[in-house]
Amino acid sequence: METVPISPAAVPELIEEMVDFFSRMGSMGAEVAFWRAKSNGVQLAKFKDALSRLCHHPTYLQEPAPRIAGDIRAFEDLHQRITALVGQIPFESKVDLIHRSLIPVYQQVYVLDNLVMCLLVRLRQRGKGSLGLSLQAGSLLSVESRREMRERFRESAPSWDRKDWNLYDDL
Amino acid sequence: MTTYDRGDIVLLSYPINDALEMHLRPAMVIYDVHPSDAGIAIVPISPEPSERFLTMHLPQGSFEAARFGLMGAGYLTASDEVIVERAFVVRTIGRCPWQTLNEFIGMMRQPIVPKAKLRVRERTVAAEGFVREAV
Repeated sequence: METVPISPAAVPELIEEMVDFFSRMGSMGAEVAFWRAKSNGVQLAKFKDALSRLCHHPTYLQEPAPRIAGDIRAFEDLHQRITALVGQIPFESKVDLIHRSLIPVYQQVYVLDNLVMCLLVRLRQRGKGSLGLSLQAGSLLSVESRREMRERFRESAPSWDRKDWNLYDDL
Repeated sequence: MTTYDRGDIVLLSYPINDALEMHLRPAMVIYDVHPSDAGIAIVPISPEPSERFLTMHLPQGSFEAARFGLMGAGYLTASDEVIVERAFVVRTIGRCPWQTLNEFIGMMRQPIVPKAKLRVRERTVAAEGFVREAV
């Protein structure tokens, strides 16, 4: 497949294209839409590729705050649409009723949902200028119990102390 | 009280230091004991592979990472399960696909042995009795 490098300036256009695509898919009904068009799979793969590149883009998260604010709003709208579609996908319970060849298409939608969420969280953190909000629930626990908890994970997850893993605080 | 299934991906409230600061970290539920009991058994999901234990890589953009609800590439560590108090579990963010779960449970049962030295087979010299003389 043709891979085109994505520039931060092209992000609004990409988001608009994705919103349009998912609105159409949502209005048609997930199952019917996927049954009808094989080309949708190709389109989803293209979106996935573009978002993956954006996640690893060296300068995208250094864009000025007003630009990021605009992208955050656009990504939020997009995320709502994809989440609605994911809600319609009977992947867990009715998997036997779906043609096997469609499973990769459903998987692509899950991946897109995840990538958009990932970009949103990172953009929000960038907008706030910090790496995650710490919780203050620790006051409910004694120093000993906090130490004991850390001790339990010292061997199996020493990298849990890394700051870039604070992404989950904003979920 | 909330109960969890094997393969549920949860966020744990984890104390980074002795201060009151707590951060959320992803982990996978291995088993949930009776709701009346306080603890659940989990294995951590880390941003780096473990040097001591077998790890399963979940690359960003893969279906597995998406179903896990990960926000970046992660490593599922096949260490012994850690029992944590239920109060530390904040919420569920995803689910491990069953094929991946089966594979991972297999990894947990696998004993970790140091890599064996490559054994170089010694060149065998044909015994004299078996060498036929050309007539």
